[in-house]
Amino acid sequence: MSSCFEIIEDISIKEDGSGTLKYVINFSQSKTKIKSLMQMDEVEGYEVPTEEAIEMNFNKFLRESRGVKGISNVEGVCNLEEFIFSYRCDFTSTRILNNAIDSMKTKSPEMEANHFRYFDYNKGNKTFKRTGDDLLKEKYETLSAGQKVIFNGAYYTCIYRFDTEIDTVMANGAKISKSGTTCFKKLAVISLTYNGNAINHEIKLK
Amino acid sequence: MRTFILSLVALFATTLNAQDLTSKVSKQAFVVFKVNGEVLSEKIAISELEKSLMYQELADELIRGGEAKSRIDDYGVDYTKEMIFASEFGENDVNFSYFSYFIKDNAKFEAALETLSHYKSKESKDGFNIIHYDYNVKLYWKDNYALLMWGDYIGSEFDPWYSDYNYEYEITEETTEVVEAPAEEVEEVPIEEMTQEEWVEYMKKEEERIAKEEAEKQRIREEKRKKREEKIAKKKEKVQNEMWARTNQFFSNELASSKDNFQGNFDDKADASLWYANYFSIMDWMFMGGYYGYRRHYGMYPMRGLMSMTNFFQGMVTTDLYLGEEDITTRSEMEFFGEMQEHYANIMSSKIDKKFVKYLSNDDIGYMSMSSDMEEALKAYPYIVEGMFSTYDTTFTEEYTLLADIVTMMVDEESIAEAITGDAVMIFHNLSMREVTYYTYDYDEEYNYKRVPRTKMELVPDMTLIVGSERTDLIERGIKLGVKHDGIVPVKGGYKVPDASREFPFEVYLGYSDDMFITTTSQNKLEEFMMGGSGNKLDKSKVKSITKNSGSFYLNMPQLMDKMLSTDEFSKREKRTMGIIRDNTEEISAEMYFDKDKAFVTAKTGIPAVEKNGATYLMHFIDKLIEAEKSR
Repeated sequence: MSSCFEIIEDISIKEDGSGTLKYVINFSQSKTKIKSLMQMDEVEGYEVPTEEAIEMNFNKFLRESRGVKGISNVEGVCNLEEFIFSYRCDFTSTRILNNAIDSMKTKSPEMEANHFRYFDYNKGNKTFKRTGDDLLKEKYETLSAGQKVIFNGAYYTCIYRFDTEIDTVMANGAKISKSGTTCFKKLAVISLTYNGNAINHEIKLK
Repeated sequence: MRTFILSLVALFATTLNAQDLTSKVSKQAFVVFKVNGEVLSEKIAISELEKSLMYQELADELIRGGEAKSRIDDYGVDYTKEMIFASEFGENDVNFSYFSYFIKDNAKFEAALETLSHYKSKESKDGFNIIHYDYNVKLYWKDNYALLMWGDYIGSEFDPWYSDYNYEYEITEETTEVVEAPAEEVEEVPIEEMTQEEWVEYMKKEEERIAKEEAEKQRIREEKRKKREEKIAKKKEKVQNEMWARTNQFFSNELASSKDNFQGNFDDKADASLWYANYFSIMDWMFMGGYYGYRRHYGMYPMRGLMSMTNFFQGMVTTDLYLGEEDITTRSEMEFFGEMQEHYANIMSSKIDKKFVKYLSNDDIGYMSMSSDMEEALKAYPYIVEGMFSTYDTTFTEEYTLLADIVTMMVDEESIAEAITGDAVMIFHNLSMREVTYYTYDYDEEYNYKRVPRTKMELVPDMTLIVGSERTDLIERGIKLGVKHDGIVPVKGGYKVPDASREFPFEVYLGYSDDMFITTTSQNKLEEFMMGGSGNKLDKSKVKSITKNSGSFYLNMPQLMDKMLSTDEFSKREKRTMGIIRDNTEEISAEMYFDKDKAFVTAKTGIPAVEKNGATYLMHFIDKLIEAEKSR
């Protein structure tokens, strides 16, 4: 049985390069399965966290991101009844956002920051770039066939909003909103496990 | 003359022993598996086996990297004799796993190996032929048998990753600092204000900085790599030396002569046999306990480990498999460790109260019954804990034994035995569909989104756990308190736990009747039980199995598959496999009883009448599964 979950990455960029990140991870459709798994201590060699541990880690994440320079108005909701986790913050520039992600990554001894530019916005040429890494792909390759199944039926949605109209978008399957200021793309998480660049966008504004 | 005759007898005995591969296994083994080729080859025609998909798959695996043979005889292996697989703890930080079998035709055996890409590594040494697959995987053969061995280094001295952890962590910490520094330095020139030229220049500088950092990291990595390589070289040498020593020992009669060999007792009439050193680590999942591996510390889940049901089920197990003409049977003998045998005899010799039978129905998909003497179990508990923690890991024996003694002092065994008699039945009634609400997101034309509820049908099990209790007054008081504090609410037939579906994937209902405490996921079943039972008389054979044994298990596999197939929970591929299982399996039953100092478990499943015996049945069943997999 595959499990279903969805992730929404919603970023609004202002003309000065500052903006807002909203991130939602929604496991609601798989909540029954998760509740069953949470009755166990360990599944296939992985320790199953308790609700308390999930909540504690989520709050720790909020607290740490509040401490990152250039990040403000951090809010988050950890809904353990539906297993929906949402996060929002304001950032002063995409570089700050990248640094924040890097510093969050280095909190984990397993990960090494590589100064990856997930997001780039250049005010001069009015270009926004979203670049994917192979973190998920690398992790996926270490999983067993049974564990890999969890990515079937899961979706990753990218929404990028701007103050001005979009001129061109380089991203397969991306759509532009009626007003022309928002770019939307929904892709299967499984495609990211083969190629992290499947998430790549290059959006040029008018 | 007498000495000469004795020497001849000893030599003859040595030659005889040399033909018995099981006797070559060390007493340090923790798993021994034997396929009895002599019995099995009588049940299945080789020509039929060679035509099967199962053989083709096995042949590909046997000679991976080489040329698969369409005739089994072309491998030169003597399949009419025993084949063994074993895993052993080594004396010097190297554990061994190996597969050993007899060679019938050396020329054919070697010809089959010649097609392997690793054949070029073949070496002859001290009368042995050796193929080196890897430093820790080698095939040795000499005289008329072969040994395919894996060596596993479990020490820390030469483990290339062992002492590096702190070092790695320090580097990561340094990197954290490096990440934040440039953010401060370039704050004066905001990236968003840059012209195209400034942007290019900025990116160039960024790349140079990253390259510099990368070079430093590369230097550290190189240093670490050299250290690791040194350790790896020493580890390889150690593993190879240990494997060579164990191989020489295996091909000699050394272990059998000194009685340091595996002393398990397999039935010569069985088709296959398994011995496992401590079966409670296998059983543990049944009780959802933490996993107790040999390398995992027992103290990981101290209370759960100490109070876990699995504490009552630890000992060595020997299982023989019989592929009969009418059924497939396994007979297991579980021998408990040391002084605990006596305690187990007292705990496990009870029979379940016959009243439990009325709650079971022929319509149930499965059930498991268990009877134990709770008073004896509580009295024996400190000894069981002491025995358990002094068998493999003695680190905390004293601490756990003290805790168990305190628990025993604090509890009144007789009163608890009245509250929980030790008789219990877990019933798996059915699988049903339940509507579940979940949330997803709807988008408008500007891709603003809002959370919306949706529904879907999910498969949930209908289960009941019934536990015997002679203190219904205690249960009544508990129920009253539960109602008072809104922990449970009255419903028709009993009580409901209102928030259960938050914690579990099903509802939970409670009730008590006739000295039984009932926990069930189905309100209908609760009502039925409170009215006096299932009303459906259970087959006599099942009644006998439950009431005459300490434990009994039953599962109607075709019925279970049928129920699962009737839902939309599974993919087409999964349903195809389930369909094959439904059409090719029968009911599975098992029963356990205790006699003297051992527990005996017999498990059985029928085979379709068209099959000659269990061996042909399994071969055809596996073929169907392979065919389904290939047709994807």
